[in-house]
Amino acid sequence: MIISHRIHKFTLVCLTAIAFTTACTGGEGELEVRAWGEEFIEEGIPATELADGWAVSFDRFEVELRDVSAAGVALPDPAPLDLAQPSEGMGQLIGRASVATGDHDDARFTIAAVEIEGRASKDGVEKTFAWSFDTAVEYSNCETLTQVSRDAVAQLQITVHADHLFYDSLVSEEPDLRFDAIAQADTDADGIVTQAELASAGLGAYDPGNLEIDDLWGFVSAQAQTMGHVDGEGHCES
Amino acid sequence: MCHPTPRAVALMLGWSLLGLAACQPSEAPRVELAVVVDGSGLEPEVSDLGWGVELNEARVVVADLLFTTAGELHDERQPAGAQLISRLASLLEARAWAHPGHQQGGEVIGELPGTHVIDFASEDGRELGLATLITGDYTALNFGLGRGQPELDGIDANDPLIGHTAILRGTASKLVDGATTEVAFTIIIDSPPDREIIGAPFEASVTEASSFEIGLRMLLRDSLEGDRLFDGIDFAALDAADGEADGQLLLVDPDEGDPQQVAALSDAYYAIRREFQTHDVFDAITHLDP
Repeated sequence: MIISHRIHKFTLVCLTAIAFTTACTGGEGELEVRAWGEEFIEEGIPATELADGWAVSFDRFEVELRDVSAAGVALPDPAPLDLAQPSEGMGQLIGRASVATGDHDDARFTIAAVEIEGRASKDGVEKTFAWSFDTAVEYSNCETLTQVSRDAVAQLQITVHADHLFYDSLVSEEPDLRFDAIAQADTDADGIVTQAELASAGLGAYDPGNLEIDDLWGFVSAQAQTMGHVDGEGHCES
Repeated sequence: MCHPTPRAVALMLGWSLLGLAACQPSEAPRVELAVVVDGSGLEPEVSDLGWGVELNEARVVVADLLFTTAGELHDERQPAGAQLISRLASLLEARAWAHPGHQQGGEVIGELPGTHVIDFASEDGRELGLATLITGDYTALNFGLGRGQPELDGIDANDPLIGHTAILRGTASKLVDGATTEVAFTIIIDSPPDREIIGAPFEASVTEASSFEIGLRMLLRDSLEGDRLFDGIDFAALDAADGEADGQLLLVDPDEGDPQQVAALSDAYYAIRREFQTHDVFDAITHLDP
């Protein structure tokens, strides 16, 4: 009896210890995923950022996201998000999920399409644009670590870099932002720079690297495929 | 503001790690092979517009040759240092763009560091140095485009290459209505400071017994796709556009030279610079022992 009692007591202690350990290190936490276009999309890109003095702003910057997943959990595809809407730095909500606690580096997502409307101005001249990019780009192996614990809501941010649209190089580590060439593509001078006009415009000083791109629409479209990031400046493979 | 670690920093890190790896017994074999200038890529070519182009000066500032392989290091005993180098190299090349016929994004397993001012038109056979290569199958070559500086070999303070990436000087000729039109041209190219050539062809199998030289070439004609450096350039029209059809043509970067340069000249300059800055215009080949 004494031996049996001691065995039961020992088992109870062990089970309690295991349960306690599991409770401390395992379980689930909450993950919130948002998309943000930073101040550049919500407030505009100031003239000081562009080498040729244009200022750019966006009336609409609609991003269609698909296959967003992180921490081993796939989120439902959200409705298209307009990143030009003010969010006070929070970005637009994609979704929430209960995920395993711990450190996660498996964030991935697809930007299926982007539709933007905006305007650029310089010295009293204004050019508007409304462009659509429908080449889906998958982003994975992102440079970020999402730490999920039980007592806080973890955050993952898909960050969209709109300034890439105006880079003058696809390969430089320090490209300039420019709008002059895009403005000059408005050959009918109606103040609207269309996709067709960009497709008819040569590259000028723009540098496409080894890509066989020879018109501005092809160049801007290629830049649009580099806009996806995570948690600010975190790069992903695409 | 959001690009990968600069190539130069990772290069130093990578080769430092390779040095650490050298202390391990499972080090991948390495060999040293001479890299020489090969002028065979500058044989006169006829462009798509019928201009026969011949270069008598093709000076280019080339920095830090990196030789790459498309796959994993073949040695299963790959040391930890080399694995790290591979990962670093993969990060470095993550932004490389795919292009048919060219291998990109491979691992850097060989190098010839340093800046070299090379005249591909007149320095055939000149040795640039000894490259260090890990044994393996090579597929491509990367390097940086620099700017001429006075302290570099062969550059004096009055050299027109000072501050520029390349000078291409030569003649373009074309038979028009039974008469030959000839234009002597000079093109001064300025590449961005961090500009690199990624994925120039270099097909070679390097073993411990290898003793061949590596010939670095500039090409007037892309050997893989057949297009030429001066395709689309109408030398006579440009000669006329510069104010006087005198058979002399100078193309310079509008940002560095004359900002009022007429649009046709600027467009031609940019078109040539774009082509010059691709991996279509350079390659490396093996020179087997005679």
